[in-house]
Amino acid sequence: MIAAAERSALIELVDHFLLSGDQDALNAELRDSGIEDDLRGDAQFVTAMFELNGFRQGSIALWDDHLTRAHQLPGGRLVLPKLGEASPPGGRVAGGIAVDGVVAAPGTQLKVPLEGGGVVSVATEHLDLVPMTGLGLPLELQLVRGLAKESDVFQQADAEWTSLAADLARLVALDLIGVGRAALRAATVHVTDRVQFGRPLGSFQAVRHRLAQAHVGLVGARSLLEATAGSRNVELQRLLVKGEAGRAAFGALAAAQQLCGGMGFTTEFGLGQLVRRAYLIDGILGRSEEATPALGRAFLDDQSVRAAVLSVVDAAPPMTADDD
Amino acid sequence: MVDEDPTPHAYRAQLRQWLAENSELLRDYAQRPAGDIRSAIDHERGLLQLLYSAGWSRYGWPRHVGGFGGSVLLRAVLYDELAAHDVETPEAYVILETLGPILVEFAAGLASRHLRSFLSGDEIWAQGFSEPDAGSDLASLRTRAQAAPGGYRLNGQKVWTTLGQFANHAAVLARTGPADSAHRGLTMLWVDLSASGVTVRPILAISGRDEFAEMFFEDVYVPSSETIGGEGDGWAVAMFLLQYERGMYAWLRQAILRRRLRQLAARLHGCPTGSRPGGEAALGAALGLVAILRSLSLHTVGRLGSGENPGGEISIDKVTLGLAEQATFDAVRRLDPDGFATGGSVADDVLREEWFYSRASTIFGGAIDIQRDIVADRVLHLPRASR
Repeated sequence: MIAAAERSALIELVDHFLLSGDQDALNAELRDSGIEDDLRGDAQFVTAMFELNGFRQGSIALWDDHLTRAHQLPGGRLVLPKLGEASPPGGRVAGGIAVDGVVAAPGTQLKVPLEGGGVVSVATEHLDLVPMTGLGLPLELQLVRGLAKESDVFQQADAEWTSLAADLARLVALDLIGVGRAALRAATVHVTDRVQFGRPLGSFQAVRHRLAQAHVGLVGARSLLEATAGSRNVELQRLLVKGEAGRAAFGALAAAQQLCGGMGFTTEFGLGQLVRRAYLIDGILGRSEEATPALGRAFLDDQSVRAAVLSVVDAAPPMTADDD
Repeated sequence: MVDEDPTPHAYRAQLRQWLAENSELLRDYAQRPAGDIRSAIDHERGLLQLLYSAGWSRYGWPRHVGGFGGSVLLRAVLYDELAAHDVETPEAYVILETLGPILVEFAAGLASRHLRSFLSGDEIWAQGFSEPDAGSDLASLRTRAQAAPGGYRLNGQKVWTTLGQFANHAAVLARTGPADSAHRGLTMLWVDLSASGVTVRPILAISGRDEFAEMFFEDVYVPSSETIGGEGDGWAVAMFLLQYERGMYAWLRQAILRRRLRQLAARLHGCPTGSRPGGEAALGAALGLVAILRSLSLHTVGRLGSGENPGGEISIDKVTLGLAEQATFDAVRRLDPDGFATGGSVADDVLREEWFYSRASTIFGGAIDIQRDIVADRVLHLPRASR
């Protein structure tokens, strides 16, 4: 159990490293704390860290360390599904292991989740990397494709995809919420400072209401995410939790894009980076805008999704050992 | 039958057992009748009595006012479990969660006298706040309580009083200060609606369900012992009420909304909705909002139960509630537009009533626009709105 005061101090430290962009130092700090496993198992710490990572626009390679430890994955940078897709990026075929996914900041080694279960590590040189164009920078996302030979696999683990994807969905959701919060913060500062018609923009009700609604959305999405920490149902995490995080984030971004006016339209203002990050990240494990109708369909057709959605939030969890 | 001060977990386990054992009996309360409220109230009295005599509805209310004690979370569990077991939530519980907390907090004597009767369905309460000229701008209300020997003479009019035409007593917010005293000169009175000078008339509502009333007071005498809080405390009492209402009412409603969505899925399971592409999206949106409402609301109820005042943050719950209500009934409507428009079953009648009512959910109890203003001011600290 991590004491609240210690947790707050560590979160502040995390933010300090995120601000400086020094991910290696952040990882070193976690290792040197001596309580890294406790921290990575502490829901509040994890939530705060990864939301901050989105807020500060840190590298998504940060997700790797977390998922690797939580699921005992082998070495190498984690290859994610192609944007817009939810199934594993690799699969065993005649001839070896076919890979078609994306990766952020790849090093010399990659690990690839496979269709049918398992994660395999291969040297990056056995596959093709293609930098992604479009919204691309600065996430350093690259496409990774090719056919690796079975003999290229130097490490593997049994990790199960749905469980890994459920956690990945939550990390994406946290990043989106962090990005949304950054956009809302930028807009709030802007409308407080910007004076037109003799008063700050933020004193006009239309402006206030739009930002208030954006905040409501983000708080709600965060609350839902915290409340669903216990669910292993990947569709719930992907469609409901990440779906709502995306909705809230895009709501905040749209409000910011509107209310920051001309200044928000300049590269210098920084809102553009947040917009690009959100639209890219959102593609991981399926786009949140598509999640809504998919959730409705799954609720009608899939008993396990319906049950998972209907059991969101236990109103009376056991409080003591006697309580069971 | 239940231990002294049970934990919510233990209470729920025993309640579930009782609900299972009494499922035959409870089937009578699976669906409220459409339209006629009088018969709905008479019918629901049976359920209230059942839950009262079995003790379940007395938990979560302090012993010194006639409850069985325990955390407010016990009430939250009761409302959740009723909906989960397909029992219609009594209208009375909505009123209970609006007025019960202020009686307990500010008028323990009145609570001791009235709580048990209310819980058992023997009496009905109402609230009198809004007036024709004072809705969102509640502080401008004009119903006057003039000092009189041993009490007050009440004159004025209240509107949008839920079930006012069936109520025995009403908590009425009245002006005891001078005309320009705004929110400072208000007092909450506990008015016996059978007193001379009281007239109550139902309001014909577009939902087809006349659940609101107007109340007219002409020189109604109210003894000074029948106040909730002291003279001049009316605004503080009203604000306390709104905090609790926004907490527990939101929780109560999320359980009902979840049940509606579950019922919808049961009705449509296996049916293709391909010809209603918007319907699935509407359902997904509703599921999202209701899930969010549930997580927000439980957290808030917990905070209120520990004596915390969440302040302006509770407006986040209220906004979410209004949107969740509308999303839920829009989803039901969009997946069954024919039933909504021209269907003749009881379920169709109820859907129409509930759809209309959901349009009002962003109006009553503090309009969504006001809630957004509160979030802007007290949570985001944006520059003050100009007047």
